[in-house]
Amino acid sequence: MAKRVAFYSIVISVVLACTGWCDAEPLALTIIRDLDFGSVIGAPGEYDALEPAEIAISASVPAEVRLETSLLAYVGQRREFPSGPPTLDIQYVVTLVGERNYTMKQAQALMLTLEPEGEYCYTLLVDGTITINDPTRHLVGPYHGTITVTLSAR
Amino acid sequence: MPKKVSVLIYLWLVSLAVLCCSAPIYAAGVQPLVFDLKAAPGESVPFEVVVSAQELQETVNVRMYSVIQDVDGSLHFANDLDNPAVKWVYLDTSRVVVPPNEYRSITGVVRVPVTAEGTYPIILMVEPEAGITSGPVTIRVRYAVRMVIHVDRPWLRPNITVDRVELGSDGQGNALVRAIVRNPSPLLFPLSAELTLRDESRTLVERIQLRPTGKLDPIQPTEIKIYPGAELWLDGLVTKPLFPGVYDVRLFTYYGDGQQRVHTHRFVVEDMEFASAKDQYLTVEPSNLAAELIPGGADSQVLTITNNTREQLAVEITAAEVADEYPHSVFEGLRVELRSPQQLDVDPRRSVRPVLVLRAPRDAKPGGYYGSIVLTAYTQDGELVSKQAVPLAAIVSGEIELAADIQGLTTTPVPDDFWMLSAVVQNLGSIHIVPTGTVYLKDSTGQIVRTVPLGLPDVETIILPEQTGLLVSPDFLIMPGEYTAEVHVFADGQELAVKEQLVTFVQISEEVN
Repeated sequence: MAKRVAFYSIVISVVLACTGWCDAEPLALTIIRDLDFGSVIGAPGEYDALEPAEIAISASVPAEVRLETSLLAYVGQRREFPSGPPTLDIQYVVTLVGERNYTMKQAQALMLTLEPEGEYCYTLLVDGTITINDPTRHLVGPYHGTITVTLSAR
Repeated sequence: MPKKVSVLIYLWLVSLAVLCCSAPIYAAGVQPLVFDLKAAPGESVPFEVVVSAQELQETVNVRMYSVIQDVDGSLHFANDLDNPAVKWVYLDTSRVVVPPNEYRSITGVVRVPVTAEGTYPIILMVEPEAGITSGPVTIRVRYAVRMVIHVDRPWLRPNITVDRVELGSDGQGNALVRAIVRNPSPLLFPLSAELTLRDESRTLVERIQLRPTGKLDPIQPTEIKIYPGAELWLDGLVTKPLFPGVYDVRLFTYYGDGQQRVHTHRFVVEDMEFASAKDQYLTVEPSNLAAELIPGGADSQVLTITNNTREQLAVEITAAEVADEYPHSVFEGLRVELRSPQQLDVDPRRSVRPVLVLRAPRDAKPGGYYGSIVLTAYTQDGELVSKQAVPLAAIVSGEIELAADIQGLTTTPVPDDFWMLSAVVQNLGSIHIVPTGTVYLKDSTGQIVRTVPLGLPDVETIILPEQTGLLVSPDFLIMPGEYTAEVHVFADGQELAVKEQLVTFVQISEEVN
């Protein structure tokens, strides 16, 4: 068992979706930095992200930002799982800088409300920790999850 | 997995991440984010949403979603609901390619069936393809454009029901009241609520402004839009101790355009669970700041902030408006200077006294200017332990205008066959008012059968300019039937408004719990 070391390569790579047009758009979002876990060894323990993701949100109108997370589930070649694919236990810490922290697990939702006075650029940090308690429950290979960020005006 | 392969995969993923981060910026802007469409039954109405790109070509996909309102008032979106209104929307295209630094329109038409009536909110979910990453954990970015279709019918009226009012704990030892209200109508409309708690001797214990559950921050707006069919949980913290006994609750709900519903309830507190005073961390005196100035003059106000805990607290001082773009804002109309750092460290069991200086410009219009000073206390670990808003009122002397409008009168049955009246009053003047009122109830022959006084629910209440408030009567007995109510509202010895309306007193037992 001790020799059974699994590598989980988790890189949360984020391609920029839209940018902070503070002077043009009432709501805009820019992803400044990815959430990167580097290589996760499959031994029991907690694995923090190397750096939190950083997202800039420019808003000039009251807005809501909804974050929804899916399961971080195995998506490797083996596809037959009677009770669903194995998942990694991940917890996210979402910080609206200057306001407060929120924790969210996978398959959860978080709603943030923005009440800008005039035009304001918020910074949202998304950090994450993967916890592995029993390596025998996790297959070696790729895992996939989704964080959906939905912006809407209030 | 052999270690070499793992390392290679890892390096590949890191390279991918670095590549992604250094790539040019993909960006899509979307306008408008909310729009209303008014349509008659059977009518077709075109619409347009503009998507713009920045440095690179952008491709966006558009899908239709339904809106679901959670009990805290927030919205979430689903595309798997059987929402008929989604089928009324015909998009000319569901995929748009926008060249760099240009914009393109997403166009379509809403074909409203002849049977439609009410408000139908729908989401056009605009999803930039560049907002979907290919990494192990994908971050998807999307814009929820809210399209609200209004199909007017003359018989439609906003309506709410109060399912129940509960007393419980907020999980931190504080008493929390919760009103559960529902919108059974097909309309979308604004709603706000407050309640009064009175003990067995009819003494007012507390008047509590309710806010959506989980959003009790005193600077959050109290008004919320309730969606058709939605249920909202409206909460308020009880800051006064509740000793064992019976408490009468009156829940006042304002909704639609000047409508109201009053719900009565009774709590029995059996033990000392809620008998301790609340916000123990920070005491702020005075509880209201009031300044009087002449144009060109100044006035100073002192706040005493006491740290009641055994550890040092950091107190942040900020400003809050009465409402967005409030025309009588003290921070816009006057100059408010804080003569201390915006963040103060307060030692255990000690007080600090920051000074506020208010200055009125020489050309300041006479009248009242309003806002709040918000004090937020954190422990040394950064934990938020207290947030209190201190109302700030500044009166600039000169010719003051007093005016009001009576928006409606409501009858409510209360226990033991008594009744109460409540009137929604809007302040149309330039300064706050503390109105009183009188209602003359006349029978079919025009004879006055009862004179009922009206007053604000508690002595601390005022109605700010542009805002509405409630005048309530004491409980009274009257024979069931239809009466003409002649309502008079007064303030500062002047009659501000008169209104006549028909009212009916018919006992409805389910309104009283």
